[in-house]
Amino acid sequence: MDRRRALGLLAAALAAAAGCNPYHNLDGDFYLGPVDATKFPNSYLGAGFDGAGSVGTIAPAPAFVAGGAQVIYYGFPYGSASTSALRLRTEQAGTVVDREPIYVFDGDPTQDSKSCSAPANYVWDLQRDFVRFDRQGNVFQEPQGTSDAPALPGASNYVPIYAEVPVTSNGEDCNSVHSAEFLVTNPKLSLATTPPPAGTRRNPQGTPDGKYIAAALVDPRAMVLDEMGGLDSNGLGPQRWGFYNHYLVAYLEGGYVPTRTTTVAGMDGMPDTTVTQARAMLMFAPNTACNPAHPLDDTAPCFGTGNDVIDGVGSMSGARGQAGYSPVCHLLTYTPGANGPATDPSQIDMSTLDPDTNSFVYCLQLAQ
Amino acid sequence: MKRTHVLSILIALLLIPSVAFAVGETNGRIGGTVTEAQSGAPVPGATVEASGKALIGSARSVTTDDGGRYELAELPPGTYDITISYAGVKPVRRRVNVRQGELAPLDIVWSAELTEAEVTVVVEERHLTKPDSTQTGTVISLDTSSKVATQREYQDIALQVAGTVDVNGGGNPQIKGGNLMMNRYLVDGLDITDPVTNTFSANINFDSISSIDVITGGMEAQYNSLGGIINLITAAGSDEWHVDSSLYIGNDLFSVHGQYGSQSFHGVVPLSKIPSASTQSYQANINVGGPIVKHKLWFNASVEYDYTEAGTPAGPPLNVQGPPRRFNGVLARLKLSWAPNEKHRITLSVSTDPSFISNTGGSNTRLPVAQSYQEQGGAFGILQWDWFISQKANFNLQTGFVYNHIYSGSQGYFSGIDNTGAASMFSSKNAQYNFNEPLQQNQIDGSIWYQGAAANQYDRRYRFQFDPSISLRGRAAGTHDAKIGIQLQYLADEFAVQPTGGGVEYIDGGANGAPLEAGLCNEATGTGGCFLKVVQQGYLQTFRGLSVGGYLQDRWKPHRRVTIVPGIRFDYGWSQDSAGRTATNLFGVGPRLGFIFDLTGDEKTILSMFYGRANDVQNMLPAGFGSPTPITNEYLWNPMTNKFDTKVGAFGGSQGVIYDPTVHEPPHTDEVTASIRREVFRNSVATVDYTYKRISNMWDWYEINRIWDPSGYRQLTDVNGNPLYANPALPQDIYKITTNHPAIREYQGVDFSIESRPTDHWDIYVAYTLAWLYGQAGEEFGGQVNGTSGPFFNPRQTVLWDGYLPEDVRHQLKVRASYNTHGFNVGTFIVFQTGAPLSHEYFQFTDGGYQNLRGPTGTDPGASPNNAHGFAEFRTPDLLEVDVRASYDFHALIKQHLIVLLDMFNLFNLRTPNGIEATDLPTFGQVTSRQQPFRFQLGLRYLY
Repeated sequence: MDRRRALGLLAAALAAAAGCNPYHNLDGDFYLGPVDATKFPNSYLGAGFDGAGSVGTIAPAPAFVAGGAQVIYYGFPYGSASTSALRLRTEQAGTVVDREPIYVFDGDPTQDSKSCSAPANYVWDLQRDFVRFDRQGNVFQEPQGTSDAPALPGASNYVPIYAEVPVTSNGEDCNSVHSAEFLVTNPKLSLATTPPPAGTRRNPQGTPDGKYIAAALVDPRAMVLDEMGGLDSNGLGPQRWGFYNHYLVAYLEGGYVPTRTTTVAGMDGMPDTTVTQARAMLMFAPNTACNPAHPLDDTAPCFGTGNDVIDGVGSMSGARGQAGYSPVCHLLTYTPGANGPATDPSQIDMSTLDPDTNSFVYCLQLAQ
Repeated sequence: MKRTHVLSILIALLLIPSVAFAVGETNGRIGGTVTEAQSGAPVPGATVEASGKALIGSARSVTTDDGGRYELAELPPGTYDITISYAGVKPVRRRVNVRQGELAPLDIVWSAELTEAEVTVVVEERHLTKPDSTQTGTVISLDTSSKVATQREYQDIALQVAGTVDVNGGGNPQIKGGNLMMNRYLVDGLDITDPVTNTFSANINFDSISSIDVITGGMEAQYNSLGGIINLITAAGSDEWHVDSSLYIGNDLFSVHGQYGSQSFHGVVPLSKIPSASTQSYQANINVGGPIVKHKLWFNASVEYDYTEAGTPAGPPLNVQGPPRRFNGVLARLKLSWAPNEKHRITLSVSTDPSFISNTGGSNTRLPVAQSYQEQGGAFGILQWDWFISQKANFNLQTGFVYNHIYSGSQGYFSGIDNTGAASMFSSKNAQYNFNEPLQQNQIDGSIWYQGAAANQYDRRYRFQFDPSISLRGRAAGTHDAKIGIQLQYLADEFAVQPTGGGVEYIDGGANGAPLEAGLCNEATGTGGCFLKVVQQGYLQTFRGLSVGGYLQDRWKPHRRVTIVPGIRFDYGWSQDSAGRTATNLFGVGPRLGFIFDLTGDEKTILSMFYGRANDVQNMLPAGFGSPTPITNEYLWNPMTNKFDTKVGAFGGSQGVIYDPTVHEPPHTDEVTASIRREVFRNSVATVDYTYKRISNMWDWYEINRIWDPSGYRQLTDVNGNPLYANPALPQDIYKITTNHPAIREYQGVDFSIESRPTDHWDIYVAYTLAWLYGQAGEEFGGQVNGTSGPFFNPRQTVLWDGYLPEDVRHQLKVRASYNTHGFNVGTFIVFQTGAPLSHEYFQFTDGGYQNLRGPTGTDPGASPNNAHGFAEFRTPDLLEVDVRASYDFHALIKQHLIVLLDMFNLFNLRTPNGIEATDLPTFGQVTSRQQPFRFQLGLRYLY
């Protein structure tokens, strides 16, 4: 055999070898397991979480709304006392800073889409399937730029509110969509997209419809108790399952956020700024077992004791489904009267309110 | 934790030094043609006679056929003088070196001038191109291996061959995509592979080995291995008396000491006051061989004694210097060779290898009282009968038995503990061994306390083999060299478990956890990092298996330049667990087909191509894993009651394992090999081998009763924490043993090698391997080799079991070279290999073990764990080891072969980490072990 022929054979062998792909399971819109919640704040990990022993438990708290009715909410404090908790979107001279998108499939944010294609004769097998393959979970997006809001808990300015981007599944295989990066380029799906900024290597991004959804991403490992403080017969809680950047996420969906948009005139020739803010309900909590100067304190927060009273937006009912509902609560503390904690906003003596610390709690009530 | 328990058993099983159908090719051949020089016409009827020191009985002779062809078959490896004679013509003489399993080609072009000129023996060793074989690998003789510094173990020699690695460091090579449980180890044709773990089961005196044939691929039908074949031929006696005695001393003073930092980027700690553990070795050998009855009955007797100490530098989490691993072993062997007449040759041999190993647990996570111990050994006997029926037919029988045992457990139970210094830094519990003190694992830092093992284990294994075969040579559309054989084996295992610590083991690291002993759980007071309590009982298992294999292979030469090697084998295997259930019942067909082309017509340029399938029908692991055990229960600490009163897991029991009734596909390897071999100059061959191998349907088990939450990090429970199961009536783990799964191993590799003995002074082997190994199946039964949980334990994790496999070593360079002159010899063995994959393993809340992945196998998610495109390959550092031997034979001065030797290991004292903490502990990424330091040993050898 001459040298050239031998080299040719060798080259062919090497080419064959070099073509091997060790990650067969990671082709296309792959799946990489649950999101790493190591850096999640405690409230998103759940009570009792111990990285070396126990998973956390996330339990809801009851609260009263106007008329004395009781609602159940899942409370997540905003990391620092600030009205920036309310800021959702800022636009100045064409530059927009917005919440990260949540891609909501087939129109109804309160439940996973059933319009996708399930495998033939599919029957959900909880033991086999990590998610139902006759549903499509909603998809959250990773931050696209440094000024974007974080999409996962763990950053100090995390806000569990996302900009809704409607997606039509058009019969795509259920729960085959695991990431925004593939979603926006998936030819089977229908959605409005915005091209990436010129000069960037980013993907297009879904175009929000202007609505905002509260969705608290909790530790996927956590045990989340339902409104009765229990689990269903399968051991599952009320959290829903979606995807973030090829990872599985668990979240509690708190409904649409009412908003208010204002335009602030620019000073000294600066362009006007248009700000969209969440509208918050008022949450009154008794100050008897907590420090009203630090009502969000991790170890003894003022809220979530079962004695919270919620006054909805515009003093309407703060129950989910009512016009006054918002998943954002402005926390105020008060000194209860002789009859004990109030069970209706009208029972609170406003003169006993403690100084407002601009503290906010994301008070998510789940859809019934 | 369940997995940890099961894995600990298997890991212990693996520690035995080790089935299958594999008759061993113990002989070689000489063959060629005799032609007339002027006309090129074949010379029929010439007599070709072979005689040599390795050949007992009379010289063997054949006559050339009508085409001038001849073949001298079944020659024991060695050097032969060949005499080609023809009536009325002066004979021609040659000298040929025969290697086991190979053809030594010898063509004679006969002329009147040649016979007139023949006055001396011409040395002829041009046999390295293997002109009628598709098999890859090589043969290493005692002569070659004695010129370089080695650990003097056959497993170590096997690692000198291209395509072999040992990323686990346990002495079981991983050969071209196979794992450490896929090789076959043969001694004089007896399969000494461990019946259960398929690892090596026996050690053998190094000096009693005359040659080692390492077959890495392209195997003939007589072999059946998913990995490689390591075929040892032991020394026989001869008509001359020989003595080979030697002493090797590697005192601790001959070793570099020092402590090293805990990170992989750290070097020596110059001012460390921690004394180093000793690293030393001593070995004494004596081998005697000779005739009992000249030409008729020979013997060879051999005894070897080994003592070694291997220390590990102190490191986290204990940061105290632990005692070294100590090995004490005696190897003894006797072989008799009998040739009652020229038609029969019988060899009988027996071997034994008792050994005792202390401090086997690694020294950085255990104080001496928590060290583990191992006692192992056994015996095997072999009877081999060659019946030379005629020039065209011979019969061979290889039969024998193997017994071995391994007893392992807590060092303090089996032997004394070496508590020098270390225990004083901790509580008095560490000063003295107490059998009733439960083992505690602190998950905070990975430290292990009070016991070396949660249970002592006693394992005895047996094998009986009966392999008759017939070889036939003849002509039909060319020449044929066919072999047909049957291989019968019976295997059995007795396995007993004796829990320590009253059958209790604690896994600590709960809410009140802390590092080291301070974090251990005190159940009585409810203090410490109480998390999980495991309660187990002792048991005894016996399981057995039977297998039958039949093969037919041919070496058909339809044309002078073409050899076709077709073959097929049929294998059937059955095994039964200790409950009397049939564990395996499999049949496999393994076709083989090879084509070999002599491209230049002179047997100097050979192209071979091969496809073959090997089936593993005889695996005893299913019966071992399926044999019932008492139920082991796990209880979670309840901080409300301060008790372990929440039962969170159970496994074992009579219903804990089931066998998949739909299994019909045995584990198998499909292999394609292409090789080019070229004799580049005298006695020197350059080879390029390409191998593609796909290993499918390996034995594994699925857990089928747990219900995991969607994340796969905890088992679903009711609101009170009671685990939920698919079958609520049987609230425990249930495993299904099966081969019906999609996980595979894929290997692609190219070996470039040069093997050369250009003169008597030089002996050179250089090999570079470029290889990829990937897939979903790390090891049988769930990645037990690397302590991970495997793809089928937790269905939520299955998707991540995909990537580079633990034995994926991308680049390997091996150089074995020696030069000798006037009694001086300098030899070196150099190996460089790139790092092997590790997987970052995360805490899994149900079992309290670190079993979950967050990226594909062989990766680490990195500092931004939620970046799906950010995971990086996670590997051990690249390793370079240079060993050198220098020796001088005083024969020229004293007329006796008295040889002094100096062996230097790790010449550059590279202390590269070869172990990295892969679990998600605070010590993640830190060094758990390093290369042994530079050390030398002195040797004295006497040969008579």
